[in-house]
Amino acid sequence: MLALNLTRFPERFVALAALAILAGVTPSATFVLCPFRALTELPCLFCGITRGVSAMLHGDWRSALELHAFSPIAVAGLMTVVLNGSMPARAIKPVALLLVLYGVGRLAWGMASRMNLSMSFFSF
Amino acid sequence: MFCPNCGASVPPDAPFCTNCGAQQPVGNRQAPPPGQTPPGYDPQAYPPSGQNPQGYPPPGANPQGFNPPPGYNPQGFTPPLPGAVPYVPRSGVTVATGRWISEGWQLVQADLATHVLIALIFLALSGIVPIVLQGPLLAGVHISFARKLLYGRVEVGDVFKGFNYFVPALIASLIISVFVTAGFLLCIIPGIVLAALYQFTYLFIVDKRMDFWPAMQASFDVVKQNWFGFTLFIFTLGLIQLLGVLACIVGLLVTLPIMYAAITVAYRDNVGFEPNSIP
Repeated sequence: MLALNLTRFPERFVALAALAILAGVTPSATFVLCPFRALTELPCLFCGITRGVSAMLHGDWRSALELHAFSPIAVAGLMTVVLNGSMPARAIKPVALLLVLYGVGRLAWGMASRMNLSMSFFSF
Repeated sequence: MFCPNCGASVPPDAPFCTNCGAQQPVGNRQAPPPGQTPPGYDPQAYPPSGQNPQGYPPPGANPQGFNPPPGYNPQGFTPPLPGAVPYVPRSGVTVATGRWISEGWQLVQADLATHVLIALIFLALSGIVPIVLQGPLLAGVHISFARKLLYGRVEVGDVFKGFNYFVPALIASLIISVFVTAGFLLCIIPGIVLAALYQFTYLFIVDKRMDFWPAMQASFDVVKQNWFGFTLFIFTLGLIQLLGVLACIVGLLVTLPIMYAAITVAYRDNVGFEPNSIP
C-alpha cells in the first residue's frame, strides 16, 4: 500500500530540489559565498557542506568526508525532509553539538597549520 | 557519647565537653520537644508579661520563639510575577507560507498609503538614529498589523506605540542583530535559520508583555517545532525584499510591510493574541 502524504509540501520540494541540483551541478571551489571564508580564508563551521553533499551524491564519499565530515549526515537529513517533511527533532541537538566541536576543531587545525606555514617561511 | 577532641565520656545532650571544653557535634544536642522549655531556661530571669521596659515583645506572644520570615505566604507559595512563567507553545505548529504572505499582502493593500508611510518612517528614523531606534520601531510596525488584525483599523501613529516597549525591544533587536550577523558570517544559511527562530520576538514583547529574553525564548520554542518550514518562510520573505531592492529600492516600502504583516499573521495562527493586550 502506497500512502502518499503531501503535508509540508514546500519543505519536501525544497529539500528534493536541493538534492537534485547538487546531484547535477558541482559547486565551484573557487567562488566563495561564505563571508567568513572570504575574509579569513579559513573554513567556518559549515564550509564545505554544499560541496560535500554534491560530492556525496556523485559517489565520491572520500572527498565528501574531506570537505566536511557531516556531508553524509546532511544528505541523510535532506532525504529525511523529503520523506517526512521535517528533521527528527531529537537528533538536532547532539548533531549540532558534534558539528560545533568538529567545526571549531577544524578551524583550530587550520589556524595552527597556517602558523606552522608562516614559521617555516620565516626560518628560511 | 564521647568527646571527639579528648575522648572523655560526655552526657548525651551537653553542648560542650565536661573534660576539655571542646564544642560537641550538633547532633549531640537535642532540641527540646515542643511545649517544653529548653534546659537552662529560667522564667524568673525575665520580667513578667506586660512589664517590658525594653520594648521586647511579651513572652507568649509567639510560643515558637520566632516570627515567620518576611514574605512568608501561608498558602505555601508566592505567585510568580507576570512574564516570569516561560511560554509553553501549543503543540502542532503550522507553516503556511503562501497563505500567510497572501493574507499579509491583503492587509498591506487594504491601507496601502498608511503602511507605506509607516515603512518610510521606519526606514528614515532608523537611518537617522541607527541601531537605537530600530527595535522600538519594529515593535511599532508589528503593533500596527496586530491592530489591523484585531480591530480592523490602523494609523500612522501606531508605529510610535512601540516606544512603550523601548528597552526590551531595543535589547532584543541588538541581540538578534548580533546572532543573525554571526550566522550570516558562517555560510549565510545559519543566519536565515536564526532570523526565523526569533521572528516572533517583537510580537511576544508587545502582545504578551514579555521581557526581551523570555520573548526570544518563546519565539524560539514556537519556531523550533518546524524550524525548516519557518526558515523557508523567512527565506521567501527575504526573496520578496530582494525584489523590493531591485525595484529601485523604493519597492522596499511595500515589501517590508508585507514581511511584517505575514509574520504577524503567522503569530496569530500559531500563538494567538492576548485579549485586550494590544491598545
